Parts: sequence; C-alpha cells; structure tokens
Amino acid sequence: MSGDPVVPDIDTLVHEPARLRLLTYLSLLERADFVYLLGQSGLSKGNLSVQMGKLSAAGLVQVDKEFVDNRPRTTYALTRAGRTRLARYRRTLAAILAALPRK
Amino acid sequence: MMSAAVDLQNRVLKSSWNDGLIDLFAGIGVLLIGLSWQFDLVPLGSIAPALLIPVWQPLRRRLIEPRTGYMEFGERTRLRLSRSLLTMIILGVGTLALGVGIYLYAAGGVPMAGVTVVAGLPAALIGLAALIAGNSFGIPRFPLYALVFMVGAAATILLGLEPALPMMAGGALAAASGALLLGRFLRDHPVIDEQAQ
Repeated sequence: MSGDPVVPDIDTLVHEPARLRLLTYLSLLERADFVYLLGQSGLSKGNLSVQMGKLSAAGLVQVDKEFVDNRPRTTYALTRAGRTRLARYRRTLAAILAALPRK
Repeated sequence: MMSAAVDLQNRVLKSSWNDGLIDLFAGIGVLLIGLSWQFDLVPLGSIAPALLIPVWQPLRRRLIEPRTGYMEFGERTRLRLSRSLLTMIILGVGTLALGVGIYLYAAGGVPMAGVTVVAGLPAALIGLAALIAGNSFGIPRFPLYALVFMVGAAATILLGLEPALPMMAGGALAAASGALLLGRFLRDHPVIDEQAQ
C-alpha cells in the first residue's frame, strides 16, 4: 500500500528537544550569543555547539562572530527560513495533537 | 488569558534584571538628586542622570555579559520598553522641574499655600515611575521601592518634611539592594569563555 500519509511527518530537525528549546529562545529574541543560550538552555558547551552547527547548516540560524572587549563572541539569530520552518512545525504539531484521542 | 508566547517573553525579560545593576543605577541616580536638593546644589542633581546613563552600557558589557551572555529583545518587547522609558523620562523631568520650582520658591522666601503638598510630589512621581518600571520591565523589587517613595511622599506632606528626604531614603534603599544583588551575582556567576571547553 502506498499514498500520502494521513498523519503528517514531524520536522525532526526542529523537533529534537535541545534544538526546539534553542529555536524557541531565538524566536523570542532578536539575537543572542553563545553564553546566553548556554545559560538559558542548560546544555553543555559541546552539545550547544553541535546543535547550533546543525541549525546553522540547515539555514535556520544565522551565525556572527566578533570580538567584544578582546573576547570572542558568537551571536545567533533566527533566519526568515528558520521562522517559517518553526511556524510550519507548530502547525503540524498542533494538527497532530488535535487529532489525538483525549483518553 | 496571557498567551504562552507573551508569558515566555515576560519570563525572559524578567530574568534579565536579576543582577541588580538597574537597581543600583536607579538608586544612585535618585539618591544623588535627593542629596543635591538637601545641600542646595539643585543643578548638580539635574545632571546626575546624564552622568550615569553613559556608564550603564559599558559597565553591563564588562560585568554582566561575560557571565550571563548577550541578547537583544525582540521588536515587540523593545517597543514596549521604549514606551515605558519615555513615560519614566517624562516623570523624571517632572520631578526635576518640581524640585527646581520648590528650590526657587524657597529661595525667594515667599510663603506658599499648599507648599507641603507640592513638596511631596517629587517622591510621588518617582514612586509612580518605579511602579511603571517594575510592571513594564518585570522587576518585582521595584513596586517595593515605589511603596517606599509613596510612603515618603505622604510623610513629607503630613509631617512637613524636606522634599529631599524621601528621595534620599528611597534612592538609598534601591542602591543598597542593587549593590547586594550585584555582589551576589558576581560571586555566583563566573565569567564564561565560550571557547574554553
């Protein structure tokens, strides 16, 4: 049997809990740096770096590197594609949750 | 009912002021204005906020951001903060104008009917500004400072106190509270180097 799935596919890039948390923070802010996201997300530096790398590679997040007071600072901002994809994920998840039986 | 997005935005906003720097700056500003009135140096009080504002951003960059990171609020939050800031500036200018008016009147030595009511107004205006700041910025300590300013304003009117006294009391409380919070913040939050593993 084949055909279009009745239950829509979840965007796994967005759905992963750590990435979803990071994307949610970035959706609330204009931009945030690595240290801010580290403190807010509770992720380890390595994990945060990996997750932001994946989001950046997929074009959901824009990365800027600069020096402030002789210290390196990496800032992240959600791209337009990132906002669109997050909005689509929200709609998909809402549809799935609405279809689930309450009990 | 508050939407989940607005609730999250408010929580992000609220968490931005836990370091106490804003309490310290606001407290010192009002304290300096009060002291300048007390010692008849009214023009000096008027420039106190102008001296403090340029120091705010570099100090925050040097002390706070290496510990909790840097972020910029979204457009909706920025717009909301700008509106509140404008209201507070208007109230601040009103306070200074009242202070200068009282000073000039007192210097003239002319008795004024209802002068005790006017003497309480600067502290009341600062109290109102603190209340607006507490509500808009999500700082739970500011309504407490507002209460101190309001009680001070009432005491000034009822007991015929100097208008500078409630300003100094409220300003000193906010500055002391801010210094305490900032000390704790610096102790509990080490500088984080994003490149060190």
